[in-house]
Amino acid sequence: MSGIARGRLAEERKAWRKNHPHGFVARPETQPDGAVNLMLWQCNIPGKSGTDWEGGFFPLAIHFSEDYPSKPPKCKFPQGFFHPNVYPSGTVCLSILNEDSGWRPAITVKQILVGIQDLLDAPNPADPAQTEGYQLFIQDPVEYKRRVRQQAKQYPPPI
Amino acid sequence: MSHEVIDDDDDDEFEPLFSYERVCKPPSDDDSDDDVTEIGGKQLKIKSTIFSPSLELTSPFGKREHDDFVQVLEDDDDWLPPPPKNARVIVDNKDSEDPTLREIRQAKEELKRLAESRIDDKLGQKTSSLSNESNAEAKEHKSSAGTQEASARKKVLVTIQDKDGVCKNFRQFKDEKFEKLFLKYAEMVGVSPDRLVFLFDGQKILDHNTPKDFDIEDEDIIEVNLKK
Repeated sequence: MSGIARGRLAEERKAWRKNHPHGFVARPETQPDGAVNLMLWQCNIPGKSGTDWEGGFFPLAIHFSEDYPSKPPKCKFPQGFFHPNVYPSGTVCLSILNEDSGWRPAITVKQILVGIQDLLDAPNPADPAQTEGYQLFIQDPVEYKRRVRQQAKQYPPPI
Repeated sequence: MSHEVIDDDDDDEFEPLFSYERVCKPPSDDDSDDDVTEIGGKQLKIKSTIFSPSLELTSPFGKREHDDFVQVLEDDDDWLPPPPKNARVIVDNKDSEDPTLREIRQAKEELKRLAESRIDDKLGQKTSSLSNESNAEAKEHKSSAGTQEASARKKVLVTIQDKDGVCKNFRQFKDEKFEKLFLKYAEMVGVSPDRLVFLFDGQKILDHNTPKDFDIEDEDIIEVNLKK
């Protein structure tokens, strides 16, 4: 069981190193003793240029289970991340990450990260996960914009 | 009918193939001689070279020459002792031998055998230790060659990807600083080198870093960004 998950994740990492979209980071966690934990990836998603999210370099942790890739991984932004489809815990609510709707074992780490980048500027009001982000998005677009830009500054790229 | 024909064919085909008469006998004992010279040192080598040509020369000329040759050998203490000349005589005289003389003779023979066996043992030890040494030396040579190969500088293919996803490939040593490559890249894209920032896995690569620092493998992507 775990052999399948780890084997797939090793392949994912290999493929990522050779080819990934510019500005994205995705690497398995390195433990204090130097060992690599393939089951937890520390990633960064850049905000799309031309959107209010531009300039942000948003940290995302991907937790893989032993049942991966039969079951989708859990993707988490920092707690309290401002977005209509992100739970207060930081967990991302997205169809392709839902075992019962859009997840397929063939979906790659790259596709997950690009999918979440798309979600940032295209929230799905039909499936809210937090009240603050959802209500501002629906009721106060100006304030919503301001909050998004503010958050982008909060997570600057490492340059 | 057909049977006969087939049989004939078989004979014709196989007889020459398996004719062992044609096989040359390999020169015998040459190898063992070589071994001895290697292990035993100069003295033995010299003797063996004396030995074989003289033997060939003397044999056609009959007994006298051969006797001379044997004498030459006898003068040489270190060479294999000739078969005990007296043995036969002694055996013949055994019955009539004086008991005390016989005792003395037996003791003498015993001592001789002991001495010989000790010499053999020592020789054996020496050769074995020698071969061990040579083995160890060979191993050392091998390992040193191996480390030399390993320390030989390896190159790595680095891919630099810009913001538009355009990739450029470069090859450089794994333990070589990125400085040169970064300058070259800046020149290629026509941007001042200090405006470029290079990242691997989200970590900034500095001029004095090397591919080894980041464990960079062939075709790994390095991202380049423009400073604002």
